[in-house]
Amino acid sequence: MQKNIIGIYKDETLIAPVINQLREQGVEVKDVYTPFPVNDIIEAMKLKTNFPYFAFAFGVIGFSLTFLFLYWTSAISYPLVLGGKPYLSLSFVVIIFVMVINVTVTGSLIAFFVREKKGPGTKPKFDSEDVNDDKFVVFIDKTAKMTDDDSAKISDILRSSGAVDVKENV
Amino acid sequence: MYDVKVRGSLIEGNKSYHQISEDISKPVENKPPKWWYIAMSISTIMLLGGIWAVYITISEGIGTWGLNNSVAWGWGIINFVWWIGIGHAGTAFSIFLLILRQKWRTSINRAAEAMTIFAVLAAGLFPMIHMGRIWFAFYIFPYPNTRGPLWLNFNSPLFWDVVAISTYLMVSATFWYVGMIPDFATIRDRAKKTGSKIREGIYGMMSFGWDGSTRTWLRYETLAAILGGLAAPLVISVHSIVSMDFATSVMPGWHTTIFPPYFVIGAIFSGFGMVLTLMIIIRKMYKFQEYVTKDHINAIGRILTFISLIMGTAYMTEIFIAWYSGSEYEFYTFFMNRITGDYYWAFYIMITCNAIIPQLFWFEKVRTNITLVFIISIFINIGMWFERYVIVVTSLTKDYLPSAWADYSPSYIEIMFYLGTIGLFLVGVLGFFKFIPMFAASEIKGILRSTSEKPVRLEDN
Repeated sequence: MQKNIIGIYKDETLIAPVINQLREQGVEVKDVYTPFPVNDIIEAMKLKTNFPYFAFAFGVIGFSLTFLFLYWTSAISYPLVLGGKPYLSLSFVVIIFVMVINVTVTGSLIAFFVREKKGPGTKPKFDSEDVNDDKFVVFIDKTAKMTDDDSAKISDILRSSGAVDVKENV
Repeated sequence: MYDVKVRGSLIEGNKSYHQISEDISKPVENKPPKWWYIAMSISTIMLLGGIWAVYITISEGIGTWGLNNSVAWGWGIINFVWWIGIGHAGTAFSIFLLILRQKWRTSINRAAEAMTIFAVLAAGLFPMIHMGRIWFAFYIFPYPNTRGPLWLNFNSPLFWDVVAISTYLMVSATFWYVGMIPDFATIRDRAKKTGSKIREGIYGMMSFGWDGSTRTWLRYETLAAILGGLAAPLVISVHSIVSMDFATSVMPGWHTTIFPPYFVIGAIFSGFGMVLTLMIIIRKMYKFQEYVTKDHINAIGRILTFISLIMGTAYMTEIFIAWYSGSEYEFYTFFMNRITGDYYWAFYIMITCNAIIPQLFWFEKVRTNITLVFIISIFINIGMWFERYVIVVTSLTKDYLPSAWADYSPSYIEIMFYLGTIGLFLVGVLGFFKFIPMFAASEIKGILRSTSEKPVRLEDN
């Protein structure tokens, strides 16, 4: 059974310094659970996301698919002159524009939930200690290498930095 | 940076984080107040009336409406554009302020987006039912068929409408729902504590297993930025496309290049008006004065002053160009059939409500007097309805050929249908009041520290 150490805070501003302090000791914080996004914590954990690149890719896919569909239907499958415009009319831009947005939004949304492994009815990984209300929880893996002394040291760091409660072996 | 001393406190009452969860979850967890039941009953009756009107329209045909060969678009399109306009501001509000990093959006965005969803739903009904033979409605989608396959006319603004509005509904609904997930998780956890099994089950299902992990938050914020960034041009394009339903035809009074920006601004104007109406109701009825402060109302008032000036300019530009272009048909429509003529009253209601009355917002005394602001917001809603009335009816009743001139007045079926969509909107909004946290609690917590005068209270009493 995987054991963890958690430090519970009431003040989100205390957390970013703790993360840095623990890193100096060679301990990586696994995650921080917060009721709202805190930029300092994200920066302290050095997290990055490639999400925007995915979104761009979805946009390119949306553009290509829509263009090909419009071109195929209007110029190949059933060429029909409408209002004296060429088969491949410039006014397709409007539909392409909207469909790029449509496909990118749908794609990004699916990518988000797949990446997060979340969906209707998924059980939360961590939902105790009021993390969705007013508590901020620093979550540290207690690895097999860690001795009891090590974890006591981590607990001390957490406690001295202003954690209202520290729990080991949860 | 947000300077509290200059711009005022956005959340009053020295809240703690827990207090915010408490306040915002309260309407979801408690029984609704008595007025809610009364309002819900009235709206349901209106909705049922609307369903009846739709039933008559579908079973007997469009002939039950007051339309004729000249005025083939009556209240149907007026109400469609009116609702779409209202539906626009929700997202416009939420997204433009998100992109501009305006912190005062946080208390208002949720309700504004809810309004968008129900308004767009109401709007979509009009063209769908006006098409007649609704059982063939799937014809508007391009699908392989046995007629060739004959595809749609992709050059037609009417088809652009279908694509744009369905995309808009999808994107706004997504944006709205994604924004609510953290708050559903808050309600789920609270329900677990109090032992309310049903609520825990439902909100647990809807919260998608949200746990507030920092990794999730980072992706979540990025997702919100992507959705916001994409929805902003979408808002502009949707109403531009709606305006092209008119502008690409050759009717006098419609065939102008001013239409797309004029419609977009009009939409945002009417939507902000409706946001004001709704926020003042929420503020008063649920006693949320600490979250929707006078500064919020004040800020919307200032924006409305500016938009109202643009509206006035647009009206004057149209009239000026009708004269300056030298087109006698344009001149006739504007000078003989709008400023004067049979429908002059509608024209002056439009001008008064949209361009003149909102100018009262120049005065701080007016902007901070909530009752007055509420009344003005109602005027804006009415004025924007009349704008569409003026555009549609004056141009269609008297077009190029005097032999084709015809009068138009709506039949009671059309009126019932319109009231029915108001009922639909209200039922939706009232359901929102009861079942969904009305403010984005997680976002309010996020701005609490930077927008309060006092340091955040961390201990609860």
